[in-house]
Amino acid sequence: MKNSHEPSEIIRTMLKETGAFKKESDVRPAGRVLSSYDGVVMIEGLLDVKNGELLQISGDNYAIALNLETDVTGAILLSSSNDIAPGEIVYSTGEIIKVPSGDNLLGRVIDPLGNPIDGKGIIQASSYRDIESPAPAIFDRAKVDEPLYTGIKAIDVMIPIGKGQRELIIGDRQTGKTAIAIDAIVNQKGKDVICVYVAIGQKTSSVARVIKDLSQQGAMDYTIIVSSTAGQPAPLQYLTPYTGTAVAEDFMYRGKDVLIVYDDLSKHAVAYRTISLLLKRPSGREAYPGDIFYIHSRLLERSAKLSHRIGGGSLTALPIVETLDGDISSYIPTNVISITDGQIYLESDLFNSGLRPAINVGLSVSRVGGVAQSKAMRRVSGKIRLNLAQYREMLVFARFDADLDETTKDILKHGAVLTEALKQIQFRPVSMTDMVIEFLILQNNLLDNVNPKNVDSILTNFLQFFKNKSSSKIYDRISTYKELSQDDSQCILDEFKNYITGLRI
Amino acid sequence: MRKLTITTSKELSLEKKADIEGKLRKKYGEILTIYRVDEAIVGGIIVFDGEIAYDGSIKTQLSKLKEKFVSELESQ
Repeated sequence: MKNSHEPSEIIRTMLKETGAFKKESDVRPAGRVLSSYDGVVMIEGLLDVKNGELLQISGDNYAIALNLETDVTGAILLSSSNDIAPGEIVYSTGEIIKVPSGDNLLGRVIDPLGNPIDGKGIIQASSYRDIESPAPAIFDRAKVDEPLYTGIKAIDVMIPIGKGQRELIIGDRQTGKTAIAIDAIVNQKGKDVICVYVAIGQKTSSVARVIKDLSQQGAMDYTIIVSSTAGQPAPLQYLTPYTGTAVAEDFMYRGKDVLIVYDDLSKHAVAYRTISLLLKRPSGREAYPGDIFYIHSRLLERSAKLSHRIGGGSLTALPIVETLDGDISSYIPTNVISITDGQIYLESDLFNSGLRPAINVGLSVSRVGGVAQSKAMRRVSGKIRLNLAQYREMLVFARFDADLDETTKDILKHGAVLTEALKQIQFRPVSMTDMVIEFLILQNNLLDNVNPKNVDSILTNFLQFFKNKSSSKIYDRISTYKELSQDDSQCILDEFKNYITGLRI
Repeated sequence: MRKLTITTSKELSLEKKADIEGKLRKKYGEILTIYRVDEAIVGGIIVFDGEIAYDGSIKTQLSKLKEKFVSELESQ
């Protein structure tokens, strides 16, 4: 198929086809609008309509059939137009919504129906995919054992994510949830991972900001953005994550690794609640409909690591859920937590006291864990969580400034240094090798007697120094083979001890 | 008694309406006709009998023609 045609060719084809055209009446099943209010259309007729089928109402109005009853079909409008009058004819298209997919989507911003909204022209889709499709079967899946690096120290070291995993990012508003997701996307530069950022019901200004940040960080080349903003109709917001998943799935089934971020599922749940209440479906806890769990479980199940037999692609999901007052035991959070393979829990208190990323390591978990870490990383990350847990316990005593025994003082010193080392600013992804070297040094207690405030600069400068030395052979070895031998560890530690002594002078 | 919705792009004259109703009664028997005027169909007529729509509108024919253009160009 050619992408562009000569004008003369187009005119010739048009004249030929017009001449050959035979007028035929179109006979198809249809329905009639009974009532239309608040984006919900009640239709009579339409026998044989299927659930989720796309309907066409006069002109360019589309709706999705969701309530199928004997005499009446309830459908939700996909446009915010107010000119659907009772009596209008409704045609069934016989199909579920399809969205465009393919490489031409990279770098573009689309709405939930696949239309470009970035002003950069039409998108030439290589294929179209159903917005909803079944999750990969059990025998089509492979073990999740390949790391997906976020470039964020606290995550890659202690809450590692594997390709094909679903890891929830959860926390109150303004705790850095989106920032973590964006950093993860930025870190995929040069790693052959396609990224999809799905914005559901966000402020238009927030989405604009994300696009700007991703462009500036050079991440748009491998990222697709699917967006529905808060001002758009609830049905469109409801469809958004499914569109994003369909777009991502296309790449996954072609053997590529994909990362998808759903920002956020709380707003998605609210959009679905809106639709359900307008369709007069019975409401349950917190007025959510009975299938509020299912809308998220079927979405997240489509993320997987595929077996080698069908291409070995993967789709890793980072859904985001917003909590109120840190309550992770409320309805939607508990639902999504039980679906995902772990969560990264962000706390306002930590954020406000300057610990950023504000990750509560105690409550965060990755159910895939060490299996998704390189051997090198596993070697150094072993006791970090334990050290931090002990540190948190002892902090209570430190407040009393009492006479503490040596063991306690050591725990406190080491914990403080670790905590400082885990702080990170946005858009500064750290490579796996850098992390391995940093934490090798830290876990051998070589910085425990240093003022925590200086830890970051000392480590950064040492890494710079180390990479430039002839001993950078070790650095390359770790990067390539992802393993850390005993000899190499010793070399690094010795180098560091010399470096540190050199500094004191 | 069938309820039929007849959509045209311009208001039909009483004569035309009677003509159409005569023909439809032959097919459906007792009918109740509802007339709608929708400029968007450009021309022609659409008859909806509660289950099936008989679409003779110009708009649909134009859409079909457009589809033909696109598929011809794409297959080249």
